[in-house]
Amino acid sequence: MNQKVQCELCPKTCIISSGQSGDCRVRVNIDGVLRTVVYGYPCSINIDPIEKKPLFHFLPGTQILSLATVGCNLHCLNCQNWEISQANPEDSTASLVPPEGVVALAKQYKSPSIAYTYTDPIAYYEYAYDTSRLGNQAGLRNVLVTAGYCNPKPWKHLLEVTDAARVDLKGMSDDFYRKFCSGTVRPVQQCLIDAVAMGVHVEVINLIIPTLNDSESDIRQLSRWIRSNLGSDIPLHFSRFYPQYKMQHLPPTPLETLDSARQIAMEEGLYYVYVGNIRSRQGENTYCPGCKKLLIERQGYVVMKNNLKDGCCPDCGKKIYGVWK
Amino acid sequence: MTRRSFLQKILAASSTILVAGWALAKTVMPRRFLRAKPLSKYPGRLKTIADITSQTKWSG
Repeated sequence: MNQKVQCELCPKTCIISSGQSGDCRVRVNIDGVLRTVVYGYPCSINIDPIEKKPLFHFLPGTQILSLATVGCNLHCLNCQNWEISQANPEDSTASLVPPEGVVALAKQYKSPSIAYTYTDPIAYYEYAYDTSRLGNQAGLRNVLVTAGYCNPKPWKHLLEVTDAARVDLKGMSDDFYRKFCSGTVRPVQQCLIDAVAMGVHVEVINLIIPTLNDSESDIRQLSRWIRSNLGSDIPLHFSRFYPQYKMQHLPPTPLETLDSARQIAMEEGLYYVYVGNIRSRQGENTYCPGCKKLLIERQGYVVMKNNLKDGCCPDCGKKIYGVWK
Repeated sequence: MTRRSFLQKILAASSTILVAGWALAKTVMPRRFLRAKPLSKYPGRLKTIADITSQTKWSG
């Protein structure tokens, strides 16, 4: 039988011939049935500081069990993890860890949460969903580290078992997404709006790539969109680009560009703007948007000082967006 | 040819066309899936879990 299947998980809606895989490489048509070949087979599983995701307003200072399978539904030319995200499963190495095994590991290592990260959990959707559901039942929190390139129905279904989502907003135009990521921006924006509407804790990251998305208007447009559609409270992380994968010809992002982006985003009304992938004195800390008091001091992935009192500024009492315990 | 046999032939021909069309459409039109079913056997190599407390090189 040569029955084609159509995968409706992500906006690519791949039509897959028998024996072939979709664009993500891990969802395969086997005898007319869509199969995921990575369910229960993470290629990487590690305990990380939660600040590495980066998530700065979600259980700061805790460790998080982090896992990934190979595969990704986007193909960013600058991908830092391309060796696993763009790998074929048949060329990769993985361990057998079914969902209940992941939960057991989180418990064993006293990790209060599980991150679906490194590649994109949309590519291993069923594994992430089933593990999240079990994790919830065991009292664990679930974190998606994703590009948010998913169709609304499955995305909302996944959000039902998700506590926090760190979503990449890589640029503000379809042109940028098409050229550098093989996607489009609108589904990502809709995923962000849906996540906030469903009460999931959201933090946004934007990788600033010299000459491609580092202009003042790029930064203002991105910041305005976040403020207008998600709210001033949503933390935004500007991340430093390093030459990687198929984008070796561009230089790393200068620190001044990142600091300037942070200033612009704050001028546009965002309360919590950070600079990452590089050491930055002020860009790593959380300040009260009301009285400007230093609330959380960080150095790299380490929380040096947390002055919050029950999620509020100890001086002016302003409630700070986040999940603090 | 009587009217009855003519109508019978038309009916038979239409049914044949409909069934063939449906079979052809079923082959050409993809079956839609939202959720993929797990495959029990990994297509790549398997390894035992390494020390999960060591720092990974992967970003995120």
